[in-house]
Amino acid sequence: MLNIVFIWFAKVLGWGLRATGHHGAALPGLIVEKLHPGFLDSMLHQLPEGVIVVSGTNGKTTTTKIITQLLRSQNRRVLTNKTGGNFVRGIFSTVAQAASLSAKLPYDMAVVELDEAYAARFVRLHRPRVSLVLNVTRDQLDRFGEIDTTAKLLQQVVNNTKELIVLNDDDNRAAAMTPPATARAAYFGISKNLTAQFPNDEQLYAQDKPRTLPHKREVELTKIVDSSATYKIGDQLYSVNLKMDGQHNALNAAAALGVLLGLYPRANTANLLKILSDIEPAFGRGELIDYRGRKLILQLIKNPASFRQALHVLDIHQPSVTAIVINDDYADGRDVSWLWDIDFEALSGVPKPILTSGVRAYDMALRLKYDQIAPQKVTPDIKQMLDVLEAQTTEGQTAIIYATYTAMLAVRRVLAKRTRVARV
Amino acid sequence: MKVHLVHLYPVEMNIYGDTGNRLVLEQRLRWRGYDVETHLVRAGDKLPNQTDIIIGGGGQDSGQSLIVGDLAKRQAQLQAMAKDGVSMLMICGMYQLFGHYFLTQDGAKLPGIGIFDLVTRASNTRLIGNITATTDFGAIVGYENHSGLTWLGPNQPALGKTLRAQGNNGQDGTEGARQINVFGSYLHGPILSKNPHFADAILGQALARQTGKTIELEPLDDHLEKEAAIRAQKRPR
Repeated sequence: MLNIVFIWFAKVLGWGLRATGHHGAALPGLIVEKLHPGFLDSMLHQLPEGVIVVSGTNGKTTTTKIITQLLRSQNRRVLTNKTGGNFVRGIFSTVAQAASLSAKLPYDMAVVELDEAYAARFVRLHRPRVSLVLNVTRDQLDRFGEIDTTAKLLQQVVNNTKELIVLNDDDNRAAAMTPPATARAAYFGISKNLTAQFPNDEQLYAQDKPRTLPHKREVELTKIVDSSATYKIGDQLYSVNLKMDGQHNALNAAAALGVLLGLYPRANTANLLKILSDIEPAFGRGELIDYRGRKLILQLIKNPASFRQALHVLDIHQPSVTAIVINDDYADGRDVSWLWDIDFEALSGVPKPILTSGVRAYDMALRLKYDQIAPQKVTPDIKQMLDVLEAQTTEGQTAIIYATYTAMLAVRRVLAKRTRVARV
Repeated sequence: MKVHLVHLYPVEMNIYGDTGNRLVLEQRLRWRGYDVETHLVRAGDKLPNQTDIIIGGGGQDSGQSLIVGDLAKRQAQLQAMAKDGVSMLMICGMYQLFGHYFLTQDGAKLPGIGIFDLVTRASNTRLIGNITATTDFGAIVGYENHSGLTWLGPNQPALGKTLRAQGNNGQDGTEGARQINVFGSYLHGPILSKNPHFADAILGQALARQTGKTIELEPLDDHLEKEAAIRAQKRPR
């Protein structure tokens, strides 16, 4: 009965917030979380196939999207949290909004994306059936302090998982995690020949430290050329053309396949790969936007690892203009020291204009300066950056915008006033 | 003329972009026509015969535990070099280990090499945020992120005074330490990136020691550095 009261309350509040033009995700969740902490567990227990938690430093949103779509292709009704609700209270809101007025959740399972700290909090409220640890790299150290602390948070998630743990076997910290006695572990990874293309945190900062010994892998990425990926599953090789750019997304797909095959070992693999080939990139992860005839590619960057990976996209698209937009709000990480952990050599060979923008436009320009790269324009004003970008390109040409989280939201807000941008 | 730059424990103690300090020093020398050779010195490696500048960065607690043994073996050599006026810049974790000891959260005492008269004790809170400090070289801006609280001995000069920040311990208004040409600081950013005047002061000292005369460094165009520093100072903690 209490659940019904809270669902009504959350729905009405959510409607009210959206009707008045607010984002409806956080506030109702915040209030329910405070007043009725048992709500989440009792609601999620209704799901016959349980909850899958996706966590790690990079790739959560894309991987969550892939898992969700693959599960839906298997005729599962899947509840998932939308971007921006990547916090525990976002899940409260997602559940409250998705529930019927009689407090029933008409779904088979849920896939939730949570950052490391919130994932550790979530599993104390509800024990998931499956958890996936994508990677552990340096990110938002102003929040987490140290990488080892982040790894400890993820081990708590693993400890509280009921049935299946899916781990990145090429990430030393993820691969070293041990499942609780009642659960089993499945691994995904890359084949040896790709090691140089996918350095993990240890290798980036401690070049000669060997990777931990590999486990037997459910799914292995064995080849990636542009957007064409080859996976080894069992003894079979499967090749697939992805709509999502970049080798990191090919690895995210391997993680998602690891979850699917770990849960449903008899699923039709060829069929899953066909579904995979149709999945579009998630918000800001290589999204393509038509901006006044220009092909605009939006790449979210969050930390050294994701920025480094996203720089590979330059080779594929050969953009006419490259813009980098750096903000330093809480969601971006307040400390911009991380920009110095990235080698910008990939940009130094590019004779095309480079623009820097956002609150920390000058920090970014300064970083490039020490790699001997001179931006053509440095402006904290995102509107002005887009004007320059437009003036520097002609119709049909491609431009890439790299942006941190709140910078990406700001870029999209400006773009939405000027062109059609898909709703998040 | 060639400057020999040593990056001490570049792998073990390197977490918040402190490698950037190396890049800043290298480029500011090259842009002025000096040769520079950088030596990455890890645990067990020998220091090169000629060493003009040594830099060290912040690390995780686990990184600090890895290097204390190696650092202890270098104590006499580094102390002698410090006395001899070699320029050194130690950030965060390495700064702490240039004092007498670091008392960790678990009560373990990590011995330092005592170039600075200071001690550091772990605390339950992290001092995190944008930071500005005034020093003999002018204001310096950066970002601090540490849970160790550092207390200077009575005769140990600080590197500077904090303006709106925590610095050494959040209580006495001091930030960092200085002993001849050895500097310790909690500032990441990395520290030298937005403080070119401080970078040049270190370079000037190192060149003066090598040549035996005062060197007038050719000015560089630092407008990006200045703009970035001005904006960083306006950001919330």
